[in-house]
Amino acid sequence: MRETRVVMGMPITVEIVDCPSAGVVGGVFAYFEAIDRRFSVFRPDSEIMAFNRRRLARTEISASLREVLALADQTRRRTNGYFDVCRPDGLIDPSGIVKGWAIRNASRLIDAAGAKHYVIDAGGDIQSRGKAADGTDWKIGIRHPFNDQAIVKVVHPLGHGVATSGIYARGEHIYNPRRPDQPIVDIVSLTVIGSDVLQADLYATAAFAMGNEGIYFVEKMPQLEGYAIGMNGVATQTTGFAKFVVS
Amino acid sequence: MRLFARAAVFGTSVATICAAAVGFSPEAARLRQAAPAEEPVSGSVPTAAFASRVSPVQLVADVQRYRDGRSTGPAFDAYYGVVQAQAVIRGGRVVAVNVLRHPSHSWTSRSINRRALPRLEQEVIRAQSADVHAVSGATLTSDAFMRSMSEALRQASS
Repeated sequence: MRETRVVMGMPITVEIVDCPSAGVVGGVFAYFEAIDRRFSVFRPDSEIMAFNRRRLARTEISASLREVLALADQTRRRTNGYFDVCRPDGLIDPSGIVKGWAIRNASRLIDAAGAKHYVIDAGGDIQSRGKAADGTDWKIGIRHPFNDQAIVKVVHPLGHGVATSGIYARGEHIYNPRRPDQPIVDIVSLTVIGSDVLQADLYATAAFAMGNEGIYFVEKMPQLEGYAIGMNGVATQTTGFAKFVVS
Repeated sequence: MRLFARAAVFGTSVATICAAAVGFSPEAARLRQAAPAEEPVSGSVPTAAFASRVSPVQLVADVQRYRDGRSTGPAFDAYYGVVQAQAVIRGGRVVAVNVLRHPSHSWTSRSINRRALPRLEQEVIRAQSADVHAVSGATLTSDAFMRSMSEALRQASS
């Protein structure tokens, strides 16, 4: 069963090969919608905006928001401050965490429902498990940064999560917290394969914010592999990336 | 310029950026339909069911032939600075893409050179045609780069 809906401002596709019941896919989308209601900084009635506007005290927030904020804090420390949910305008915007976190949680929902073969693709951040409908390993393409109709690499994530950070059509929403005056342009796309989609997403975002150094940061992190594409069309890959590459 | 030099080093293989730029022009759209892929990509045999479900990733092949030499596109103002591209043509083919002008932000390059970092494998990206189940990516909306590159290639067209 395969379905695509636009939630959290992006297309989300859920495909479950061995879907135990028709309600599972609907349940996954209901979960994404609930996450959007809670964490969207574009919704004045979201919990994150109530927290930002001081209508909610730290002691009054939900367990979900507490978990996300703790994760944000941990990631900021692990990435030497490069991952920061505090925007220049002072708002806390956890969307950089929530996306990968929500996909990871959605995959746990599917695991709990008993399915073993599925893929979730939320705006290009991907968690897959098991095999595709044709019995082969899931094949994930890395998008060509200058041509969204083409891909430059195909990988078998083999249960790992895949996420790409880059300069998006939706605007340059990633900035370097240490150099807020400088846009990030050397590296146009950085893909990370991690133990799950949450790790992949967090470190893709942080490493991308580091510019040219990002791929070396990924290289140093255990259990992460990466593929960075520069503005000159030259890609740099970590030493273990090749083991995931199909073509 | 560092970017310039690097692009030239890897310029012996087909520079896919150009293929991408070609992909934006109407001639390329026509050529793409008319010309077969020069280099077939392995692992791209989809099942019928799969093919019907997943939109095929278009093949962008570097099939155009150009006059040898260097062709420079005009400078365009991207939202983050001025971008200018140059195509290097040898034997009728694009062998390198040079970014002549790009926003200056050399601090990252300098800090990389200061440290002893592992030498990581590099390659010029190549557009490929393969059926995949999902695509991970973000799209650079550098219209300025694409326009400059397209113009450079248009000038080099014989």
